[in-house]
Amino acid sequence: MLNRLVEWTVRFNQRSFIKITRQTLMLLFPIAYVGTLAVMLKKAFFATDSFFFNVADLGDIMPDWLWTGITGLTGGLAKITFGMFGVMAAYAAARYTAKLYHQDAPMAGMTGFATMLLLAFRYTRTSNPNMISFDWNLLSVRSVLFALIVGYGVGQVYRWLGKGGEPSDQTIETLEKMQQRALNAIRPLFFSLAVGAALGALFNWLTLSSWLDLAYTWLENFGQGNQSLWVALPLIAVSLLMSWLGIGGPTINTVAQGLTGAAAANLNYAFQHGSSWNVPYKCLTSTLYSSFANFGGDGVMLALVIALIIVGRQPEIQRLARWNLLPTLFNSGYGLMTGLPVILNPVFLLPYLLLPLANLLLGALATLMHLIPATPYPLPMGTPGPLAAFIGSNGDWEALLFSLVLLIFDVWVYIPFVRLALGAELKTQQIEAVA
Amino acid sequence: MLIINDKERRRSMRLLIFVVVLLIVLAFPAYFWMKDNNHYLAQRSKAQMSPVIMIPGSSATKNRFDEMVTLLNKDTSHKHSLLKLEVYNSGKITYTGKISSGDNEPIIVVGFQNNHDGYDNIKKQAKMFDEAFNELIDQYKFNNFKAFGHSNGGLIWTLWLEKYYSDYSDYVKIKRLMTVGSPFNLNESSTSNPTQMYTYFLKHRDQLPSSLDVYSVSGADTYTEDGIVKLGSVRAGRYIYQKQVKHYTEMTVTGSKAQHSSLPQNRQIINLIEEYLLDSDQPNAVNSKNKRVSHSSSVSNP
Repeated sequence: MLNRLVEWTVRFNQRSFIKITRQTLMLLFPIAYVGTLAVMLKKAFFATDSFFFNVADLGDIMPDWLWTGITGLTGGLAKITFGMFGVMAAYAAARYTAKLYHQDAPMAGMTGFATMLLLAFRYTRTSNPNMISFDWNLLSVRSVLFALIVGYGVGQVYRWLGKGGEPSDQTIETLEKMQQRALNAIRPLFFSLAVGAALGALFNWLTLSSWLDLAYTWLENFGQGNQSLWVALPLIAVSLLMSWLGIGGPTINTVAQGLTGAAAANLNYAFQHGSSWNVPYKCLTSTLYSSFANFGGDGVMLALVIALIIVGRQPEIQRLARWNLLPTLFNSGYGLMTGLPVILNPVFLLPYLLLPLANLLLGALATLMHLIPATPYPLPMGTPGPLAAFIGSNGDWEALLFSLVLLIFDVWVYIPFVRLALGAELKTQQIEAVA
Repeated sequence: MLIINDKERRRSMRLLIFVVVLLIVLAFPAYFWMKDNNHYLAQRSKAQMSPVIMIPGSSATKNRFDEMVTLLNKDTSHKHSLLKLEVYNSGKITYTGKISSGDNEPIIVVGFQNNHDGYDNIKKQAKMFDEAFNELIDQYKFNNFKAFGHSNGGLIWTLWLEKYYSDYSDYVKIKRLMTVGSPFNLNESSTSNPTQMYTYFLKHRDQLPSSLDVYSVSGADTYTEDGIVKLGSVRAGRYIYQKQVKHYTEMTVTGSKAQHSSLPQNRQIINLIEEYLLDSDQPNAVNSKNKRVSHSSSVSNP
């Protein structure tokens, strides 16, 4: 059984698109990691409604210029790394695809880069002729699947129209050889750009991206909103599935509880009565999600890091886990998503989808059974996952204990999946080493 | 290739232990912050006080409304206490008078050392008012209030609502605003000559809270003005407020004491304040207590 699973996973990983995805994500891991750190610093440490800012009273301690500087810097870093992630992904994916088929990889990479930008180009008249307007949503980490498909597509165009001729690594090429490469690239480049421009125009016309964005936002808000648990669960599942696919990126969990309707009523009740045991709306999805299902970002990444530390044997895995431990503690899990990778990794699909849902349900059950109080109190952004229920319940020890038990449960569930994933990884490497 | 490297895992374990310790260390200040914050928010949420905050017009001091408050208090068994603030250009804020304990509807007047006319000064005054307001909500922890502005005071309110109020709107609600003789378009009687300030008001009107009731009262000494302010300029307010706030009501008072500077002491206007602006003096005062909008507190960082 286990062997068959490993074999199936290996076969899945050998599919060209998955192979390209994995290589691309690996290459971009350092970039994603910088983005993750920047987001962590911004959202958990220096934003005015963040955990550390409030707890350490940074507003009073920190000089204004320093605060402005740090917020600007982290914001800029996040925008460059995560905001342009799609462009880099398209470049890398095109390059690796071309390489897979022994085509001119650097040329394909550049073509992927240009095609991606063309697709996101907005044909709106800007007042300033020196500015280009792009649809940043398509270029950002939130659409990385799209970028991977674009890159892969460009690579395939090179396979179809290219004339082979992988550039040799060692020797410095002669001018003649270079000219040959450049001329050979013209056909696939033209074709890619033409398709990119046509599709880009179509996207502009359909305002595709704003529809997509509307859909993400709607899904996220819906999952986060005040719907009853039964309505919200399938939607949360869909939104988790999308983030596993690489759509929607760092999502649902980063915003502090929105206070509308039922959540406000709960908080008001808690303030008036001095306790949250009997709030009117006990199973509020938004509150339950941020208190119990959000250890380290979507898919309980903190549990995955701990599971990696416990069973990972390869030194690389241990290093990866160490690098990601602190960010996931403050709910920035995207480094691990790309570094392991979790995105499009079939082994992790099941726990990634089901663990947050299980946590939600267990949290709801425990609240309904009066084992723990509800958690309506304000939760600053980036509150460490294990402390979320404690802070959200105004310091209830049972809630703290419960979330720690949940975390241990999550780690326990992740362990066999990590074993399977690492086993499949070794097998894949062996096969590739032979081939 | 299977490499068992215990050194690596030991390092990871050490980091894991460090993180657990870090979490425990963080838990203590987090605990105290949480208790503090929730206590503060609960206090605000439970607060019964709903003051009337008044801003006088240009050239007037914090004592501008003394006579008006005396008149208001004459009619009712509920005596509003009067607290007066003066904001100095240096940022210093002084307090005179006090809010008596048990008074849920005190009157708070905020005056400025710089009480000059003109858009530049109004901008400065709005900022100074914001500082005073910040101190007030910190000190008295009310979660809703009513606003009153005479002449330029109404302009300061409008600017403050558009520019600063969103910082507070989650947890302090402005229920009603009454402006008296406020020239929204300064000295221009026609909106076809918009002043810089009026243009700003129009541009940022979407910042005005949609739950607000606004009463714009004008005085009319002649058919076109109250002696100082042109009626056209007062009525320009409708393009700012109408269709943006919940209700916008225009009223014009004529007769004796309808001259601009006498308006705050005008009997009609005292009645309007009692009827429309105050909670406790409303005819069905008992109901109005129960009707009090249940406000929603919010995630905030005081």
